[in-house]
Amino acid sequence: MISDPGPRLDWIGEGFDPVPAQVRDVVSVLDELGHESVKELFAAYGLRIEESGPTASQRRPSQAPPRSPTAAFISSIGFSSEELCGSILLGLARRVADGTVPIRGGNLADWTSELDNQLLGRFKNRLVRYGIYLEMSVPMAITADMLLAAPPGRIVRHHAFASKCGPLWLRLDLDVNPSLELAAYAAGASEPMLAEGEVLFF
Amino acid sequence: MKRVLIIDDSEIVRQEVQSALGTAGFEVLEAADGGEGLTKIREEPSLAVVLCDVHMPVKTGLDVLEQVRSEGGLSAIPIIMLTTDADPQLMQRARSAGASAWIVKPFKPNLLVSAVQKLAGA
Repeated sequence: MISDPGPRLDWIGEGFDPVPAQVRDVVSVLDELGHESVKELFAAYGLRIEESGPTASQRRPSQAPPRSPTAAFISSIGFSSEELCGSILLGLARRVADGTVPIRGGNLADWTSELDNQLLGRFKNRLVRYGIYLEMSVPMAITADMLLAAPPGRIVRHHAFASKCGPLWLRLDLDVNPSLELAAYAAGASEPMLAEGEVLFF
Repeated sequence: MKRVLIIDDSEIVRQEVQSALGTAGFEVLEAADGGEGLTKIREEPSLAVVLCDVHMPVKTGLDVLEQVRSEGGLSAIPIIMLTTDADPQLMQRARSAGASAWIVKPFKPNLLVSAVQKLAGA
């Protein structure tokens, strides 16, 4: 029983849906990379998460995006490159933040921002394998009852996840250059990267 | 007691580093952005090691690194970049600018301590 479920958060608006045909394949890859990144991130902190609702690509345009009735901590962080820009938004139920924070009693809003930062790091590191190099901004944590509609022309992908600690949400806002072709770089996708926690001495 | 500075805009990360290195016998100083970090390095030129995030407000970690390496009295302080980023271009820029090591978050406390001990000569 949760005495303080936190603010109610509704996702409002689908953004640019359906996705324009010329970037549909790229958006599908980016969506999958975001999905993989968030699952791997929470696995690194000992929390298994599973998708709990239809992804944006599986929903009909008329269906509402996943609702997040107990989100307490939300962080957004922006990224940019010549071909691609946007933001990654992570929403966590209080119990998810509390269940993963490595310092007992730590600042959960700060922790949500750090998780969002690490999530974008994973997303970025995956894109490096496709020859895409993102610039990262710094995360911003907020609490909110409602998220406004995506700006016109912005592509938005939503994912809702369930875990033993409660629900969490991922939202990708994307602005993709139609000339971007991720598959062209896939030959380098298996190149080894520095693993998390490893120390590279120069 | 050897002193280490952690520069990171995340309070939680600073606390994690404080916990890991404090247990290993280091005194840990903290800075919450690149500008504050640079000020503390200038105030404490005898620091054994600096741990520095890359993406931060005010000054990025690479800005801090390049500034420190350009100042004669500070240029020998070992600096470890501690970041979520594994971008080879940024790692090459850090290496060229004189970083001592690169660690991708989330870090493993035992490996972090070993790296700091090695660079601090502890």
